[in-house]
Amino acid sequence: MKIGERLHRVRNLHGLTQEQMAAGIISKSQYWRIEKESNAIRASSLIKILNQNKISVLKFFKDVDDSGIKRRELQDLITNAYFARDHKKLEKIKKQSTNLQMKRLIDWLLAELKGESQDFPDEDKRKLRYNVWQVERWNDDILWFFFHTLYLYKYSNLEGIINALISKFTKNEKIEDRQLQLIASIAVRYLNICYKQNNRYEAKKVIRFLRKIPDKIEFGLAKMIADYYEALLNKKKVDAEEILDLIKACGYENYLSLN
Amino acid sequence: MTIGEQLREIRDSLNLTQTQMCAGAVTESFYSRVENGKSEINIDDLLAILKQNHVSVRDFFSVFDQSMQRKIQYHCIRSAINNRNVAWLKKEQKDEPIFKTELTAVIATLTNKKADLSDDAQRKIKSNFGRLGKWDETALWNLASFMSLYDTSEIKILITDIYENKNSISLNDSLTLVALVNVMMSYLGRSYQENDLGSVLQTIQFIKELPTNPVIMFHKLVTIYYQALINHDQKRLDLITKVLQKNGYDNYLAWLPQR
Repeated sequence: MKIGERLHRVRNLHGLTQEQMAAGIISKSQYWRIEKESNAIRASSLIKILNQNKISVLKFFKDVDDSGIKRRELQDLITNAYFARDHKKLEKIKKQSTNLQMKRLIDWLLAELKGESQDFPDEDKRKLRYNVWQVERWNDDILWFFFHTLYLYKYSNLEGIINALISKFTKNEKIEDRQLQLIASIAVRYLNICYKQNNRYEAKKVIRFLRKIPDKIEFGLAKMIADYYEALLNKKKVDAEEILDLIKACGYENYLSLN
Repeated sequence: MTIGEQLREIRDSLNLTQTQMCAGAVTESFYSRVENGKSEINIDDLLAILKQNHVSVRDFFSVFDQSMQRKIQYHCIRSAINNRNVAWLKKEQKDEPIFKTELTAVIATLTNKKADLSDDAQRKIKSNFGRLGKWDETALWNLASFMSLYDTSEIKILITDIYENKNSISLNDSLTLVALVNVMMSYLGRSYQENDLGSVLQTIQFIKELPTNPVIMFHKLVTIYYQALINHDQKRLDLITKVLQKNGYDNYLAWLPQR
C-alpha cells in the first residue's frame, strides 16, 4: 500500500478531515496531493502529522512489508543459543541472516564455543572490533555487539572503555533496564578478565559498580556473580563454593566460565 | 531524536559506512546531509534504505511513537510486579486513580489473597482478555497480574493451555519470557499455599526448562528455594535467604513462604 493510500485509510479511520491532518505542518493542498497522487512526503512531516493527531506511528506501519526481524529478538536468540552452547542453532541463525557483520559475529561465537579462537582470522577480528572512539552513542545494539566481542579487545584498551561505560551510569542518567542489563553483563565479563589477569584493583572497582546497580531482580545474576568474585578475592573459598553451587543449580554456570 | 539522528544510530550499530547504508537508494552526499540534519528525506526513500539494510520498520520508528507514554506506565507496573514491590503498587494506587481497580486485583495476586472487588468490577477486568491459545506478552501479563480473580479450576485450565501451546510462545524474546515466568511465579505461590504439591513440582520443572536467560535467573533461584522447602533442606534455605538479603531483595523474600 502506498503511503498516500495508507494516510487516507488511517485518516478515515480516525474520522479526520484533510485540514485537521495537515494543520500547521504542511499546507492543505500539499496534503491533498500526497493522499491523492502519492506525492512524496518528508519523513519528519509524516511523523509530526501522525503524532499531532494521536495516531500511533507503529500502528501506521503495522503491515508494511517488514523484512527485518526485530533486532532485540534476534539478539536474544543468539545470546541464548551461545550460552546454551547450541552450535546447530547458531549455524541456523547464520544461514538465515543477510547481514555480513552478523554472520561474522556468529562465526566468532562458534569459534569460541569450539575453543578455536586463536585460529580465527586476524582480519575478521579487526572487523568485529568497534572503533570505539568514533561511536556516537552507546546504544543497546552496540552494547550487545560489544558484549559478544569483548574478548577480541586488548586488555589495556578495555579498561578505558569499561570505565567510561560505568561512569555513564553513575552520572545518574536515566538508563533503561535493558541497557543497564547489557552494561552489567559487560561488567561481569570484564570482571572475569580482571580476575584472570590478577588485577585486584580493577576487579574491586567493577564489584563496587555491580553493587550500585538497582536492587531489581533483573540484575540478580550480575549481583550474585559479584558476590562470587568478591568471596574469591577475599580468599573465602567456602563462601565462593556455596555461591558457585547456587549459580550452577540455576543453570547459569556458563556465564562464569566461558572464556 | 530526529530522523537523521536515528539513521546515524542504526548505521552505527550495523557498523556500516554512509556509502553502504544509502547504496542505490539516494546519493551519498544527500544521505550525509540527511544524517546531519541539513536535508529532509522523503518517506519512500527512507523505507527503501531501511528495507535494503534489513532494518525492521518498527524498530526504526518506535522511538518516534508518542503513544509510548501509556506503554511506559504499564512497563513500570509490570516491573513492580516482577519485583514483588507491593509498597510501590500501593503508592501507585493512590497516585493513579485510573488504575485503582486493576491494582487492587494485582496486589491481591501478589499477596495471595482474594481481590476485594465487586463481581461487576471483576468481570470488567476479565472481559478484556482470556482468549485461549494465543499467549503473547500482553495475555501472559494479564494472567500473571489478575490471577487473584480466578478460582483454582479456572487457573488450571489456563495453565494447561499454556503448557500445550508452549511452542508458539516466543521464549527467545526476553520480555515475553519475563511475562511467562511471572505467570508461573503467581501460580507457584498459589499452589504452594493450597498445598497442591503436584502443581508445585510441575511448575518448578516448567520454570527449570525455560532458557537460561539472565533476566529470569532470579526466578529460577526461587524454584530452588521452593525445592529446598519441600526437601526440608534448611542449609540451602539459609544460604538463599542470605544471598537475597545481601543484595537487597527483602521485598521478594517477604513474599516467599518460610515453611
